[in-house]
Amino acid sequence: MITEKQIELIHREIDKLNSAEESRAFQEMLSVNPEVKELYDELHTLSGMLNSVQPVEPSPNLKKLVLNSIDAGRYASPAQSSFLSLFKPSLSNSHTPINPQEGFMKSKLVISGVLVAVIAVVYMSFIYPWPATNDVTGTIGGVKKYNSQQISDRDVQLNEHALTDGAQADPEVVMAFWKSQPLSMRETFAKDVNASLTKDANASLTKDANASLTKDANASLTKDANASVAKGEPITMQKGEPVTMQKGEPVTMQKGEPITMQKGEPITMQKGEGNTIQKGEPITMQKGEGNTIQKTTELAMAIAFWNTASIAQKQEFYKTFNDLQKGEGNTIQKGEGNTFQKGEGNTIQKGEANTIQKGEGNTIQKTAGNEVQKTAGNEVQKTADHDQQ
Amino acid sequence: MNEEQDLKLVDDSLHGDQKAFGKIVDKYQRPIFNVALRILNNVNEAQDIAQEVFIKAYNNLPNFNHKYKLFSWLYRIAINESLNLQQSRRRGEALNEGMISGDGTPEDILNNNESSEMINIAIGRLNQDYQTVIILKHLQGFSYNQIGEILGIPEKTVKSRLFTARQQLKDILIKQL
Repeated sequence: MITEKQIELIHREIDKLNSAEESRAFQEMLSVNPEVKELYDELHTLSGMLNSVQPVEPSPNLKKLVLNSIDAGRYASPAQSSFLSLFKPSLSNSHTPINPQEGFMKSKLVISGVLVAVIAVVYMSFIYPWPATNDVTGTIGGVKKYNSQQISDRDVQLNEHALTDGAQADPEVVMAFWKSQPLSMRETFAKDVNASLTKDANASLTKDANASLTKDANASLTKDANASVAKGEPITMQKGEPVTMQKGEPVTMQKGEPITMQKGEPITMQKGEGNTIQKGEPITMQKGEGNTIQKTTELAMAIAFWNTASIAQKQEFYKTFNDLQKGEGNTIQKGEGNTFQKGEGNTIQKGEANTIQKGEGNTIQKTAGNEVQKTAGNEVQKTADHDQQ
Repeated sequence: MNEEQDLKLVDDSLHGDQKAFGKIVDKYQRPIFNVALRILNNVNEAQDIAQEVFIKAYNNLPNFNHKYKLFSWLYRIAINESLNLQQSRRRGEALNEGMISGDGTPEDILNNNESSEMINIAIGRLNQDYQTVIILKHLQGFSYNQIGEILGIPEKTVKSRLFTARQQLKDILIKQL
């Protein structure tokens, strides 16, 4: 029976780890214990066999294969690797152990940076209120460089169809008609007109804008934009801040937040909400909701008011517009059915069927069928058939 | 092994000095190849493993822990790679049982040209823990302490494994004879 201690002594003797004294004691043990001796001889022989195995030379190409397989540029010079050192534990200070606190701070910095980036990506992807795709498409069409005049009153044409009649009327008459209305009434009407503009514009945007998008905008993009801009690709505008468009290629506006257009070339606006149009050149507004329309002139308001009036009102106003009131020394020409009131010294020419009331000293010339009423001292010249009352 | 010199070569390699890494390959390719050869008993596979060891080492140089010696680190990579490959194939398929034949004492085997291959085959029949200590101790000449450092185990465990490995290897060889 071989003890654990004897087994260890055998192995230590094979490995030449026993001291001289231990070796002597082990040799004495071998001489008196054949079982130990047998095990030792076997293990010693085995050890000799193992130790005799000669190493084999690797292929002479091994080094070449290795060096050809590694990325030679993986590690840069110290100056170049200073930034990378933030991300990798550097061995450049290999003889001085890396300060654990320093490593922690570097890791903390990197982790913080990555965390911020991840939060930003998540926020922009899932939280930030990007507009829906169908809400953000629009077109700035027909981009051509040209010098146009600044906007005039008539450049902004809103709900034009409703104003056509008034626009064709004599502006002087329309304006006079407007001003003849009481101030309170005009204010109320202006308020209503603005409200209707907001509403009507939206209505037309819903309909007209889509129509023009389908046909006009795309058509102009195909022709004008591409003509002036070489193969311009659609441009996406973000955060519609004041934009000066130069060589604008077809533009798709996103995030139609309040936009102030400056130096705009012909622009088709889509989805503009709360757009303020300043100094715009001819603009077609589409889908504008809550647009603030400036330069809604008094003339436009007067025209709008004119269009709301009845035909009888307009005729009465025309009649009144032609009436002479309190005129002294007026000369009436081509008047038909005119009524002279309190006129003194008026001269009526070519008038037919005029009625002269309370006139004193009026001279009626070349007039046939004029009626002179209650008038004392009126002089009728060269008139044969005047009725004298 | 000149440890200071090894660390210098590592630093130089990390600073883009490819020649420094070439010196590391020069220095360790032979023992690394032989460790793989003894575990795998196949020259071509050992060659591939040796190449893979140095490529991995180069790519992971920044992760090299100076607590360890370079040779320990390289040996550990080589042993792990070799054992992984060995595990991935059926060990017995690679062994040519027909080559083990004939009578003879250990002394005869020692003087036989086929003795080395017989030993390799016998080592291949040990479990992996015993294989590595036998190879590192007898074929590479490492001390208990060095073996413990390479394998990451206490010296006491190295001795225990080595004693058992020798006993089992002896039994295998005697059985083969």
